[in-house]
Amino acid sequence: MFNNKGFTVFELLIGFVFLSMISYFLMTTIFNVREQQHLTIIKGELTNLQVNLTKDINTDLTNYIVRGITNCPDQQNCIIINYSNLGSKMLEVNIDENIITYGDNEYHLVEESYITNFSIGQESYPITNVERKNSILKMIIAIEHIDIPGDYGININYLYNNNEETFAD
Amino acid sequence: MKRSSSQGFILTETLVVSVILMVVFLFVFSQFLLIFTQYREFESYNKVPHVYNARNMAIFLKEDNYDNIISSLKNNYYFDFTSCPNPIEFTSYCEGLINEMDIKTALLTPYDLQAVISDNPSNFSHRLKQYLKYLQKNKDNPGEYRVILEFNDGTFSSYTIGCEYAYPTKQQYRYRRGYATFNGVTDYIMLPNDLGYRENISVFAWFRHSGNPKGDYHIIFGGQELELSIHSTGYLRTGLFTNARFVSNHGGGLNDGNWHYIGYIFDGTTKKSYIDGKFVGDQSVTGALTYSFANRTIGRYGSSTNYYLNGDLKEIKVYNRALNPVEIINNMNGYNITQEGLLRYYKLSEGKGTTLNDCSGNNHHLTNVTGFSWATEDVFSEWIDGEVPTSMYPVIETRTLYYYEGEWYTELELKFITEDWSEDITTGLIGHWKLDGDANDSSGNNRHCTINGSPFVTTGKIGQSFEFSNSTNKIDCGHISANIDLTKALTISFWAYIFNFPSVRSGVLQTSYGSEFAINISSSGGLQWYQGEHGGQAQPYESISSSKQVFEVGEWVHVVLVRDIKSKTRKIYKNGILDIKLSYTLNVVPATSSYPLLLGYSYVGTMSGKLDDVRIYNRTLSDSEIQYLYLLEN
Repeated sequence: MFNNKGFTVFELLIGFVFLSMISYFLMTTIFNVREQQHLTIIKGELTNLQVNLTKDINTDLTNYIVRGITNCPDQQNCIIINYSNLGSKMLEVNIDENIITYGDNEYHLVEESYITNFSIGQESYPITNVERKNSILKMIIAIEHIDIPGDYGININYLYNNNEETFAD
Repeated sequence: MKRSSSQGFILTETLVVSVILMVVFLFVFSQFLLIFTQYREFESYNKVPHVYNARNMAIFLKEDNYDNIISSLKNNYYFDFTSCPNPIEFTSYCEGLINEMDIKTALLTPYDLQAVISDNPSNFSHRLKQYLKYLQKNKDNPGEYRVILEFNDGTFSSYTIGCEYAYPTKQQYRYRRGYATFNGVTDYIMLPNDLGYRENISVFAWFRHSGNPKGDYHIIFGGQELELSIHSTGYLRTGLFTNARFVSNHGGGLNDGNWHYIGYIFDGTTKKSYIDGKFVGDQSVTGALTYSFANRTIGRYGSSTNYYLNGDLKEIKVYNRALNPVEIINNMNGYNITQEGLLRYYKLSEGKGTTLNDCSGNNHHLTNVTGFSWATEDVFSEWIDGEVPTSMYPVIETRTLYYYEGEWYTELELKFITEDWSEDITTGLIGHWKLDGDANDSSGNNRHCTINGSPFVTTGKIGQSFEFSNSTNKIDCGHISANIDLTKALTISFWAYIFNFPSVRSGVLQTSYGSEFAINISSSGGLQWYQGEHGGQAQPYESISSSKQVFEVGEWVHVVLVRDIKSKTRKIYKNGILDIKLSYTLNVVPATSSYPLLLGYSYVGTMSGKLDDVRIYNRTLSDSEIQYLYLLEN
């Protein structure tokens, strides 16, 4: 500025454009933060479900000996895990209702998240030492959210000795 | 800066202010970026499913060639077992686990990661190095080693191994119980016409095939109105009667001579059959169930004299409703037995007499029953939280379940001495000082000791004992380790009665703390066991301590210490029960002592209490032998 007569139209325009850009940037940022906050809350709920369900099942697998796993009769996506010193617990995955039930505990999925996979597989590796673990049971329940990338389900690997524990069916 | 006029800013001033503002903005932005990056990075650490995977890998390593794997850490700062190299033995399983868990890098490291971080291995990714620094900075559960995993999904997890104490959690007991056995020709038990069910029913029992019965069908329940039978070829037959007979055959393998849990449920429309908790087949049934009929029997097909049962039966249950699969399995396991709708429950565990008690709570006991024979077997109960109910059964032994370093295992079997139980507690006995008023050796090896000072002779646990109260009073057994090797497998057993815990650790018996052993009482009543390579009272040495109080004030306690060279472990037993099992953490190899064996004395303080029946073996006594010794002397 080289005089004290005021701003020229050009200066005012520049200032207006500059302020508009800053306003736009700030507004976008605020909206993004709000959206991120919303997603963070959902992510927290998804993680909570993942942690609780994983711990729930793993605690039993850690503390008790699995005597067998069988399919529930007349019911899909449902297994009965038979623990030798705990009793039996049913693991039921209701894909339509978005509910996972393990024993007495029911886990409801967060809105707009879905169970995309439920599978159980096992693999054994032959070894002469019959007293040690030689097999792995893999239990997967995949849970995904439409807006948040990543799998928030469970992926449990249970190591066992197939000379002591056999999982038919 | 000086303005050249009052009319505005010159270009230089504007530029300087702009630069300053840009620097401030850049700094703030970089800080935000750093926080955001760190947040994203920390998010990938120790996700719960992967922590369990790290624990699984730790379990695998501990079951594999663990000692040699740990030894390999001596020459390297870490052991990279991503490709399951030597000394891992079960490589196919290891590769399977690495693959199934989608592991990119698998490491076993010492707990302290400083050496690994300083080594800065070139094959580690930048993010893995960051994770190591994170672990080193954020101390988690202390331990000896860590399993550290990097996964292909970009996440990391770790699990600490070691320094986890064993503690008992649950108990199991073995008891002698009865069961009913049927001869397959004439034996059977009559039941009332009406058991109380109407529209639905569940009926289950444990069965064991002995041989082919008359008529080739083992009749558990008969006749046709409620049939539960097994063909001699091994399949299950279940039947009901409405306005017609409904009978179906399912499964197989029931003639193998093992116990099987068999039965069926009927929900008004479908009859479902189960073997060992598994559904094996069903049949649709129409019409109203016939629930009352004459000649309802166990072991015979109604009034027919052509079909019997040749085998064993126990745990017969009848319900007035259809059980669900979980209830069936729980009932099979004897855990949380379903009470709802239970009409009759004949355990057949009495083992003698002519009364079959109904344990359903309905008191439908069957009296004057003679159509079968009793037999007995020893069975284990389920694991229970409380005390073993010794009053219920003749308990033969108990087991306690322990949790140790992430693993469950049974650590002891505490038997009650029976006529047919004896253990060898003389082999390897190199000295046995009963301390019945003298210090003579009763082992037959004539390792008699000398009484120094004037310790009181007083009432002992067995006979008499010596009371110690100052360093002058002690029993000197001379330099016995000069003639016999006590540096390898070793068992020391003694009874101790403490008047009060010492203010500083005090000795019970010792050669020297830098050699085979020096056994002390801690100020909290715990036990410390020193051993060392020096041969005298000097370094190098190491000690282990009991995880909890061993000695009791005013009470006799049986203490046994075991050193197992093969497994490099030392164990402490209190009253026959294992307290703790530890490895040789420092790998100290005990040296022969240049000092004499002294009882009631140590290099620090003197015990204030009584000592009785000291035994030393140059071998490890088994759990069973230790329990036998305890019970024998108790």
